[in-house]
Amino acid sequence: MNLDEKHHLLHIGTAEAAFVIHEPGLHARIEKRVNAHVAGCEKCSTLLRVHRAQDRKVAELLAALDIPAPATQANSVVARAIGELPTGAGVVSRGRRAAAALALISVAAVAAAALPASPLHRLIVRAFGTGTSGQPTTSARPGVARPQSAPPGVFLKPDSSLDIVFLGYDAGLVHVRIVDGTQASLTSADTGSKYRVSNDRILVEQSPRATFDLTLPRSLRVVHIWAGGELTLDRLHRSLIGDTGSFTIPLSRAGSTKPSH
Amino acid sequence: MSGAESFDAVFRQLFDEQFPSLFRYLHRLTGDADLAEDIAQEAFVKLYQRGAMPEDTRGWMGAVANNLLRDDRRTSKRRLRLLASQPEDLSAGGSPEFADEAVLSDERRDAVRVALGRLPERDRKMLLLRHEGYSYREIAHALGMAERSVGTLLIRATRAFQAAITGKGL
Repeated sequence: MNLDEKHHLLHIGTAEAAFVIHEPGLHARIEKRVNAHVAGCEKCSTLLRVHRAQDRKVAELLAALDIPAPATQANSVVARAIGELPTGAGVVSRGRRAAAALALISVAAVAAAALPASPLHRLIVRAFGTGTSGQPTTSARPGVARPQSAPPGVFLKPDSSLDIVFLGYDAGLVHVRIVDGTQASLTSADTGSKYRVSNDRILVEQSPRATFDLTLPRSLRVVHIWAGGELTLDRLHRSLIGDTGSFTIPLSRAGSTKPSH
Repeated sequence: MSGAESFDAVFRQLFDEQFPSLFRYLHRLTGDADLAEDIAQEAFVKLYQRGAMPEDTRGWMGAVANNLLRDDRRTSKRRLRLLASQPEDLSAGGSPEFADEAVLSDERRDAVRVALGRLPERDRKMLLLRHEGYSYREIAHALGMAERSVGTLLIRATRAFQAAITGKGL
């Protein structure tokens, strides 16, 4: 009996069975030995059959979880990768954005709540590029239409995403409405609230219990709403928007916040 | 064709071939279609920004996706993800003869998810990658483990999953 023949007498090990089942055709030497052995060993033959059956069963069970993949186009991913960020592309590193925005809100909330005249507060105001406390609370970005009868607020055309940061910790409501077009607005009949606005951010020092109306273009899929130091909304999902195209978000500390239609 | 054009073409072909698979892996892993879509897209963004194909593209993509998922979970501890509780699809009123089938399908899905949840995270990922057709080498790369131990661990993970699911009557 030569060495090969002796080797064929050894029962197959788990690793060998795995190679044969998982990567057939890739490990010729192992496969040859396993086949030679199972031809004369009922025990190993059964074992291999059981492993194969289990593998097939797992595949079948996992398929029960599947839903169709989204129809994402390579173009939108490429545009994101090279920084073009087309509106509605919906490709955003949420972790990175969340971390950046959280850092922003941590600083902004402290400054806004504590010392409005402090250097830190002024720095934040500068960072947002427009307005200071005490200036008119209504503003529209260049090229953005502001309806004459509109209540105080801000009007803008966001690039591809929008962060809305409510700095206060008081209760309030935001009525969100999804509209056609490219323009977003955040308004409130409450005249005590103050806004800072850039192309992709609105910072709000809201009055207690203020109610806001937020309109968002349908194409703007990535919207972050921060309230009470927590991310309250991180994207517009079809099941959230619903048939009516509108929903309401309570402004309060995290954990008690739920949207409703 | 320039190097950049060539990379772009290869990338687009790879995207078409592999995006559904990466999405399916992430969706099976998380049960969150939105999250799976975001992470899968971001992984491809990172590949494009890399400007060259890695030697083991699928393994690289798997590793990047797993890292992105880990980062997302870290930040999500501080976040209120309202949409996580939203159902993936709201279908209104199926016909009565299909109702039982739908219930069975839901039960089956729940049972599979519970059984997967009982596996250690690495075993779960390994099993899911294997059933996306990843090779041992790609699995090892994606999960940062030794290639030689993948097969044995996979057999054990399969057995553990089978045991967990058997308790559910499937």
